[in-house]
Amino acid sequence: MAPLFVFLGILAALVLWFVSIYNGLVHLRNYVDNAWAQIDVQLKRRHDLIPNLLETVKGYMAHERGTLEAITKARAEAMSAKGPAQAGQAEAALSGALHGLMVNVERYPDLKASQNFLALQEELSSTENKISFARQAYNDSVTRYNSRIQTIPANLVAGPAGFSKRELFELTDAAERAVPQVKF
Amino acid sequence: MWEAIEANKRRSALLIATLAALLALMGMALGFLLGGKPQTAYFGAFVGLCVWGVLLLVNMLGGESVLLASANAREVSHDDAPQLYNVVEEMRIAAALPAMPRVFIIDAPVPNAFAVGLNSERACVAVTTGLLERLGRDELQGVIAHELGHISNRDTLFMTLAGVTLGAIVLLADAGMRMMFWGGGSRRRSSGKNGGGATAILMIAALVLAILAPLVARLLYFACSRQREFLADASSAQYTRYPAGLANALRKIASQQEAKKIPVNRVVSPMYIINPLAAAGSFSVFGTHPPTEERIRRLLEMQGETPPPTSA
Repeated sequence: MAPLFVFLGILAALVLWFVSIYNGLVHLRNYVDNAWAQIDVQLKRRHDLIPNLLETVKGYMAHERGTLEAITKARAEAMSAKGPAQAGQAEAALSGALHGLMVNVERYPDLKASQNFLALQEELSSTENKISFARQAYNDSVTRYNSRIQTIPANLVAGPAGFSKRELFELTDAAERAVPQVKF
Repeated sequence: MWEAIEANKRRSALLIATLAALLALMGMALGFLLGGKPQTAYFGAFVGLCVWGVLLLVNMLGGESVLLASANAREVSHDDAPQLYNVVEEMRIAAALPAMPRVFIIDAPVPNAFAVGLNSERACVAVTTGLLERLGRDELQGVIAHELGHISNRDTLFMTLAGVTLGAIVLLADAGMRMMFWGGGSRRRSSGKNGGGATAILMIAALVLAILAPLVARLLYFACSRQREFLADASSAQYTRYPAGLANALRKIASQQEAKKIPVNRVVSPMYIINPLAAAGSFSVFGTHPPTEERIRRLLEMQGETPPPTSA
C-alpha cells in the first residue's frame, strides 16, 4: 500500500509542477502578444495624426507638393498593407517620408514658428517615440519568453506543450535605421 | 534585470515579515512592561496589531488622494501639458504597464517627482513645475521612467506596507515610553507583588527590546528603500535605453535641492526621485535614498563606454 501512496504523491507533485510552469509560460506568451498589439495601436495613431499634420503644413509649403503627396501615398499604403512583412515595409516608407518633411520644414521659418505646427511636431515625434518604445517593449517581452522556453526547467514543458520561439522585431530598412530621434 | 526584480520581491516580503514580527515583539514587550503579567504581553501584541490595521486601512483607502492633496498636486490632461503627458505615455509603453497613470503637476520651484498608487491601475505620477522648467526632454524621460519603474517593481505597495509597519512600531514605542513615565508607579507595585529575579530580568529584556525595536526597524526599512532606488534607476535605464538622461537629471536636481520646500509626508519620501527631506549629497544609514553621486556613477556604468553627453 505504501509504495502506491508514494507513487501517487510523486505523480501529484509532477502534475503540479507541470501546471505551474505551463501557466507561467502562458502568461509570458500573452505578454508577448499584448506587446505586439501595442505596436499596432501606436502605428494606427500615427496614421490618424497625418491628415492633421498635412492640413497645417499645406498653406506654408505650397512648393513641397511632392513631399506631401509622398506622405499621403505612404500612409494609404501602410493602412492597406496586409501581413506583417508588407506592413513593416510600408510603415518604414512612411517614416522615411515623414522624416523628409521634417527636414524640409527647416526652410520655412513661418511654419516653424507657428504654435499649431509646434504642437503637431511634439505629437508626431512623440508618436514616433511611442512606436519605437512599443517595439522595444515587444522585443523585451520576446527575449524574456524565448530565454524562458529555452532554459531548464521550462524547456521540458515548452516542447511537448507546443510553445515555440518568437521572432524579435528587427529593422529591415536601412533608411529607417538611420532616422535620428527628433531633438529639442 | 528580471531576476533582480524577483529577488527584490522576495527580499521585500522578508522585510515586511521581519517588521511585522518586530511589531508583535514590541507590543508584547510593552504589554509586559506596563502590565507586568504574561497575559498583558499578549494584549500588547493585540494592540500593536490594531494600530497596524488602522494605519494600513487609512493608507489603503485614501492613500493616493491624501498624499497628492497634501502635496498640492493638480491633475493635468494631455492638452494641459502635452510634452509631460506624452513622455509619461511613452514610458508607460516602454514599461508595458497595463494602464495609463494619472499625471499631476505640483506648483513648486524645487525640482522633484514622485509616484504613488498601490498597483499599476491606480498609479499616479507627480512632477513639480521646477522640474519641468529645468530638465530637457531626455532628462524628463529618465525621471519619469524611474518613477514608473517604482510602480512596475511594486515599490509603491511594498514601501507603503513597510512604512505603515514602521509607523506602527514607532507610534507604539512612543506611546509606551510616555505611559511608562507617568504610569511607572503602578508598574513597580505590580512587579513587586510578583517578586522574583526572573521577572526583573524579563523586565529588563523587554525594556531593551522596546528601545531597540524602532531602531532596528528603521535601519531595515531604509536599507530596503535604498536598494529599491538602485533598482528603479536600473529600470529607468532599461526603459529609456539612455541612462545618461537620468544621470544628467539627477545631477541637476541634486544641485537644486533646498530641503523641505514642498510639504512632504514621510511615508512617501522613498517614492521621490531624490529624497526631499534630506540635505543634498548626504548619506546615512537612516536615508531613504542612496547618495546621488553613487547613483550617477552606476547609471553611467550602464551606459558603457559612451562619455556623458552635455545636456541640451
